Amino acid sequence: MKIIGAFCIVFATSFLGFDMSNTLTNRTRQLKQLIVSLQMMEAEMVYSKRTLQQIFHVLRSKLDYPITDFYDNLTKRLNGRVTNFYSIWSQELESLRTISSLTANDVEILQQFGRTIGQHSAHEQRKHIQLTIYHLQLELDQSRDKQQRYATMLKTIGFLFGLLIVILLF
Amino acid sequence: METIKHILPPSICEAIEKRIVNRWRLLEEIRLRIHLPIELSFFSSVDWLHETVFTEEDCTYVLRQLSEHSLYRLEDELRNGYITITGGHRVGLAGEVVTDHASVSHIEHVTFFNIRIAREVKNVAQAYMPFLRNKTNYYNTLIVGAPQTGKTTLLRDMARMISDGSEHMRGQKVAIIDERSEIGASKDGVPQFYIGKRSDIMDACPKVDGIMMMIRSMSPDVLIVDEIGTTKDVEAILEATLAGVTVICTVHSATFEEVRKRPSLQPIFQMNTFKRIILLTKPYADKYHIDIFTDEGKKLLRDFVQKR
Repeated sequence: MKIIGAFCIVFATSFLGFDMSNTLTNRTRQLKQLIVSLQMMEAEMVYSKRTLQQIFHVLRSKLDYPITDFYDNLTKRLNGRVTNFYSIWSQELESLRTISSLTANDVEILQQFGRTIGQHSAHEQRKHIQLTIYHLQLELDQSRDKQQRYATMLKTIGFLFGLLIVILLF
Repeated sequence: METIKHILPPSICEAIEKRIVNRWRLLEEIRLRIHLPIELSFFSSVDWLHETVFTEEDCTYVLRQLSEHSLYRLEDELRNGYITITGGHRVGLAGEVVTDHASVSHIEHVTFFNIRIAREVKNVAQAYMPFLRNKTNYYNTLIVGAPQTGKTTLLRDMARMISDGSEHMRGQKVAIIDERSEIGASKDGVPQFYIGKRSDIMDACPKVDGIMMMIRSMSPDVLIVDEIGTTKDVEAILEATLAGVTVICTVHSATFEEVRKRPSLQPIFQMNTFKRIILLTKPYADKYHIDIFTDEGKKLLRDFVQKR
């Protein structure tokens, strides 16, 4: 009986460790995807001159979960009569935050960007996109750094911490 | 009408709907001017919405709706001063202009809008077609008229009739250069008005380039062009008529004498390029006159259309 309990504890703490480490890895991956999506957006805006809805539709098919869900929802919501684009963007960002590993800071950068989308000429729009990419790049560097430092460590710590509890209990 | 309602702020849209009730068919223009009441211009009267004032927020709203929340797309439109929306309706813009090297770069603060409602009137040209051709060919034809006299509507219907043909004349290959997207009202290259089964349309293309592109690649019998005005347009049209293509085009002018005096059109009249000239006038608010002249100034027909 005791042994089963011990297994449970080790399993639970290891899972916790893996989960925390996954969050770090996922954030790096998702930030990368966001940057790529902004670069594609820039090309579509400046060269193809598509509407936002068309652009989101294109982005949707080229990205992975959960970023693709974000653009997918935006595409759908732009179908009806839109009075305020920013409020849609903002709401969708909030729901992206709940399903992704992005931090509040990452989301805030995109919120700021949302205020500029579709409000400027192509030349200025491009500047805003590049500024956002720059900020996201900084976050990405930081996230990579954290991932390298802590990802494996968290996994080990999770397992070892479980082991420690078990030893103390026995 | 849905597309027009779509671009107006909800409160204004409601006020307009209340005022118009069942007069949508007669509506020609909706004019929005900043800090001023909204003007509804009907076929034979003008109506003002005194209690609804067009505010700055409404300006931004309309502009956003026009661009589908993508202002970066409108560079050319803001330079030319008009946007064509779904359904072929044209929205004219005015405001403060930014210049670059002494030419217009774009309109910075758009504060005046003129929503012109496009209408497809089928068979309006039918009665005039026999005057515009001999047994095998159509004549080069110039349609002259002041703004809002129905030049484009007539041109569109002529394109349709020429390309579909009739029992007297088989359909001809028609190439339409639609610089302002008014003839076909194309969206993503697909015309929304019916322009005939043998018609090809080059949308949003500058006339001078479009004429040569069409002649080289699409082998048209008849070339249809809207609103010629500059010396370059005239040159291109002369080239086309000498390349064995019939040209039908419109030009802004109020009378027959005036159009003959326009400096940029001089080469055309010196060479007697146009064998037929159709003059559209609107002497009364609800009545159009249509006169057809030969190149020597002989009147072949006088007709009038009454708007119901």
